[in-house]
Amino acid sequence: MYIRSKNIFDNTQVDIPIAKADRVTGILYSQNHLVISYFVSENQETSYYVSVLNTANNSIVKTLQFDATVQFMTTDNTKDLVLGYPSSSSTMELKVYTLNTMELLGEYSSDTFFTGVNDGLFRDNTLFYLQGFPQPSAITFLPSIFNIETNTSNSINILPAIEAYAQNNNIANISVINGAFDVNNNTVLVSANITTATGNSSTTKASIFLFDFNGNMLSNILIEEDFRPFYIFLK
Amino acid sequence: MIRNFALRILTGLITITLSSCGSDDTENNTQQQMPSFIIVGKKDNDNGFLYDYQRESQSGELINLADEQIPANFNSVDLKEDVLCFAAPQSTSFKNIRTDNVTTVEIIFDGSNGESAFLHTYSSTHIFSAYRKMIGLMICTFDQKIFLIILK
Repeated sequence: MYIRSKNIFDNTQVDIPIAKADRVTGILYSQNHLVISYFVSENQETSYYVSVLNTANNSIVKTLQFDATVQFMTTDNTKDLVLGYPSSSSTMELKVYTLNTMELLGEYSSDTFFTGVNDGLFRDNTLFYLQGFPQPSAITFLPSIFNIETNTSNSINILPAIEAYAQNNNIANISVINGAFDVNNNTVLVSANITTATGNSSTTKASIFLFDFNGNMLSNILIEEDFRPFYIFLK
Repeated sequence: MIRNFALRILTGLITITLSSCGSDDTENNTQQQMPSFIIVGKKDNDNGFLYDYQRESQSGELINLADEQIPANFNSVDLKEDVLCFAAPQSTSFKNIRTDNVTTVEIIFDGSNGESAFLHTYSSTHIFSAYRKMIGLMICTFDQKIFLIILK
């Protein structure tokens, strides 16, 4: 397996060999470092690895072996990297590293499972993520905060504020779609479609809500179009 | 630069209503300004649109991504280092690299030489793809088309 690095301005490219791999399961880029999780199967045994490539000089910082597929990777976009893998059917191991040296900073166990690359936001030993719920539920997800040192998760209950907003504005339905944390301001943005009914007709618009971590709705923007707001990015 | 191309697209302009609200069960519930953000979604028969909201002006614009040659079948979107990246499946295997030094960069991974590009990420200057040799197998299994919008 190798990494092809393509310069998008002059169209030059370089291929960097990494390791023997049967499949890459995740790839994350942050601060001139590329994190690649992959596995190799040989003689009916599977080995799981994560390699970190310094893209400034195209050198491997470190390759680590794990007991299972690393299925969760996120960073705090400054210096730390969090890797998560299942250690049992009910427990996930979280390891925190300094990204540029891959020095292990801490190991934690969680009974909350996280998956995906960059699906969470890590800051000060805390994961900010969206806790999904099986449907049908009153809401598809709640913004949640997980402390990796105490293994405790707290969901931000935005439902009462949404229900009050719907009642006060004569809205028939609010479908929450996605969320994004603004941890610098202790707020979370939530996108939704709101439907108002007039007689036999209904109108659907997009809306963006801003909540604090207590679930209070601080402000909102109404987009006067039938727009389905899937992805949110803070600038 | 996103502001520049946003201004070009008159058909994408919309009106918005700003409002502030809050419950009265806590003293900490102060009205707070929205941060700057981008939302990518779909409207009008699944066409891709981008909503660009600026905290400074407290206003937003809805931009039709079709006007930027970004197809409606994008399946992943991400923002890194002021680059907004769209990836879309490619139905045919060919290689065509076009660089527009104003706003949009288009790169098609073609799986040539019997290799498969199956995962990627990117920075403001580079796209990184993980490749695995597909020995004895010349079928491209994962064609991806990458579209980038340089935000600054």
